Amino acid sequence: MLAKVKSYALIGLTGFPVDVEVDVSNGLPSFEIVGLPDASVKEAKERVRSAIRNSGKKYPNVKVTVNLAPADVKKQGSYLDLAIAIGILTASNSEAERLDDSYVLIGELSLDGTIRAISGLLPMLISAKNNGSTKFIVPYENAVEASYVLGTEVYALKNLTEAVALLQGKGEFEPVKSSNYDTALYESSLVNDLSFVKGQAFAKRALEVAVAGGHNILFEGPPGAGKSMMAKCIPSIMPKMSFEEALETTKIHSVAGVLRNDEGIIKYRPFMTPHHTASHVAIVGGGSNAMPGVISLAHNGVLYLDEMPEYPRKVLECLRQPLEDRVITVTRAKASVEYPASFMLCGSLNPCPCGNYGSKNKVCKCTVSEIRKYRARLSEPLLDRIDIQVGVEGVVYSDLVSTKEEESSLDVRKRVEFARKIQFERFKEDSIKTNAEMKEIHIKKYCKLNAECENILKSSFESLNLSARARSRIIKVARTIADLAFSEHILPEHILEAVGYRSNSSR
Amino acid sequence: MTSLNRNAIILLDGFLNFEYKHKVKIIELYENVGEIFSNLQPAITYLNSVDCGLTSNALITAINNNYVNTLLESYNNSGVSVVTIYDSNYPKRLLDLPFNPLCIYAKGNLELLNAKNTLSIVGSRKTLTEYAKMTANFSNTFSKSGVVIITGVAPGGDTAVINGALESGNVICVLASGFNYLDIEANRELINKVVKKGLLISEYPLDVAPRNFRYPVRNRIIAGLGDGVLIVSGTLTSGTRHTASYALDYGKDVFCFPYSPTYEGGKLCNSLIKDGAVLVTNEEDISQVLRFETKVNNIIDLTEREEQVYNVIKNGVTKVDDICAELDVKIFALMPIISSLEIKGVITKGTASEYLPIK
Ligand SMILES: [Zn+2]
Repeated sequence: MLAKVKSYALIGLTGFPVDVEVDVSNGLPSFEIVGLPDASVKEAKERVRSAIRNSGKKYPNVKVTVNLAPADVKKQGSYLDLAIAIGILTASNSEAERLDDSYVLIGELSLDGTIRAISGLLPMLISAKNNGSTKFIVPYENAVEASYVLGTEVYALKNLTEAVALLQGKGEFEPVKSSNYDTALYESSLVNDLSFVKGQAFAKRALEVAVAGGHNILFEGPPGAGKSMMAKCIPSIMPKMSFEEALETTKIHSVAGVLRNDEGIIKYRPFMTPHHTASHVAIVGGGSNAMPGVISLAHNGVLYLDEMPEYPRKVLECLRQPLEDRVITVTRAKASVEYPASFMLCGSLNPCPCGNYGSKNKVCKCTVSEIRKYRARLSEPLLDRIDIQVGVEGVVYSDLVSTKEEESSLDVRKRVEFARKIQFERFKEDSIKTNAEMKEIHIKKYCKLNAECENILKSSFESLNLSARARSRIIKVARTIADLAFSEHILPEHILEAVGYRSNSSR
Repeated sequence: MTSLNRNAIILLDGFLNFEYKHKVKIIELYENVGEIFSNLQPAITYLNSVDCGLTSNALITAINNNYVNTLLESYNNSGVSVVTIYDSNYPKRLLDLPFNPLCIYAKGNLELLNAKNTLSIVGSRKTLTEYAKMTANFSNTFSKSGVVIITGVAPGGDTAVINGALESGNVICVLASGFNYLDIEANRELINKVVKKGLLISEYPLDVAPRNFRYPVRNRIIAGLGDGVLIVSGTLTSGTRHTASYALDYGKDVFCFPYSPTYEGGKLCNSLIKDGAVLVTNEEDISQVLRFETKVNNIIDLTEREEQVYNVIKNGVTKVDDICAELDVKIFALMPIISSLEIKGVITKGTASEYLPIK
């Protein structure tokens, strides 16, 4: 007899329906899965057989054929286990009562029949819901994650026995209660707060401007100046994530299998900092399963590259596309998958390989060409995408012991959120959200400069030897400074302040 | 006779392996070295008597084949002018120096060779940013007032000098190689600007490659062309010290920027000052000693707020955070003033968030 059960699979962040068709016919006992399954799906055979037996059910000792449709898409992962098991039980009539086939079944089985947590449930549920499915059985441990997909009837079950009981209409099962997206606890849960960073008024202001306008930022300074400490505070001054943003980010973390089960949804902007020895695939994404990399995990959050010149050039150059397009295309053997990668880049670098260049009391042992090579590892096109580049001073003892009240992240974030609101209004008709994303056309439209501002820009180019490419960076940053000051127009002081946030790379 | 003398010396200089002191010997054999074309015998006798990098046969062949015309043509095609010691525009300042170059190969404004006032300015590759900025300012002030600035083409100190002087074009850069090796210079774009607005010279024919030993040799020309030499930076072992010691040998005034005693990159300057070089903190320190008839303009138009910030910086409060504390202003109120002072050229960015006075 033939049975048909609904399940889901994933390509990138998009779920697509998979019909699991099971045919049980007389013949020599065998178990065949067809329909372009990959190795991980083929392994389902053993798991499904054991799970059925260990749940006290009868596994048919006949010829079993499983077809996964559509046949033209490669299916990977173990999400299909549960559907295959239910399909076999239905087709072989081993259960006394009919099994309801209106549910979408997603879950991996362990040998004892437990339904195990899977990665990527959230994007599958969202796609399935958008495709009109409403009833689901999912792993118990994925309940919190599932609770954020509103308007669905999701049952999070522990094992195959429960699943069979539910599908037969026996037993009392409560669907997962939908969760409210609540960021009320945001403040108290943040570990890093700007008030912990003593002194550094200049760097903090640069950071505030950067975050307010979505600009990437580069900190240059000696080791131990607190560059990493400040970078870690960036999420705490970014605007709270909207539900949509949170869902987007969670989808990626879910697919990558790094979502904590009790977390359910990512409410805080991610702060990702890959080590410079991390592989290209780990950072950018890819591999045989075309998994998202760290830069996609940083989506809607911060990507921090400490000692940026230490990263392989190939990795750094790969950042240019996502910095421009806010997505990264990851290719595998046949298909290519697109993952969102809209992150704020924060980089740090030492003044030279040994870190002492420019120090008044320590000797720099590097040669001129070593210093030049060190800096040259950051290419011009990459640096062009980092609007704000500032120096950070070493921490002074008197600052460390100072009892002066430092501004908290919350205070700064309030200003940032206002500035973002202004930008949101400004770019309503455009496809961008922040000043940093402005292209020439937007700059022309939204950054009109009066004669005085033009003059200041002109003389700063002449006397400070700025490259022509610095122009749009300075104007974009000036636009953000004006927004922070609630000024409709860019004023001379905004241009002048923006001029101060550029690197002193004239060596 | 001049043009024959000229051709003779260009010919002799065109033999790349022919040693300097032997060239001079050959010149001394004749009353006018141009006679060599009609009377080759004395030269042949001399060449046969020593091993000097040029054989008599090579010279005979060269003269018979009119090799000097080939040379002149190749210089012409490369846009290179040759100024020999027989030419009236040969720099007077080099005429009496020992081992003065017999030929100077040049691209650009030859009039600069005999400027009324000149000043050589040199610094090491690793010149601190604020010193580089100060150097550029000095170079700019002097060159604008008509003093021709002499320097090299290396990154760091030399580059700052060139950047300052390009506005007026009163700048001569001295190469340590022939013109055919310009492409390998890190600074070639800047060098092109020097050719356009100032003057680029070398004592070497086109195809002489740069070698480490040529830099100290080249430095004697830099020292020789200046009425004085300003050393802006250097460690005790840096190549800049050669320029200083040539200048002292030639009896020229040496000027130095002072440094903190512990800073390696400034120890050359401090030790020269100890030995009698003039400590320099502003342009007048130099123009008074060299009697430059230039009015150095130090008046800058600052607003009241700018003046206030500038004074704080001059008093040694150089970090942005500290200036805020000193004046009790918010950082966003201070930054525009800082940038404005920077644009007006009275302060410059040091390391990190530090600003230093340069006027
Ligand atoms: Zn170093």
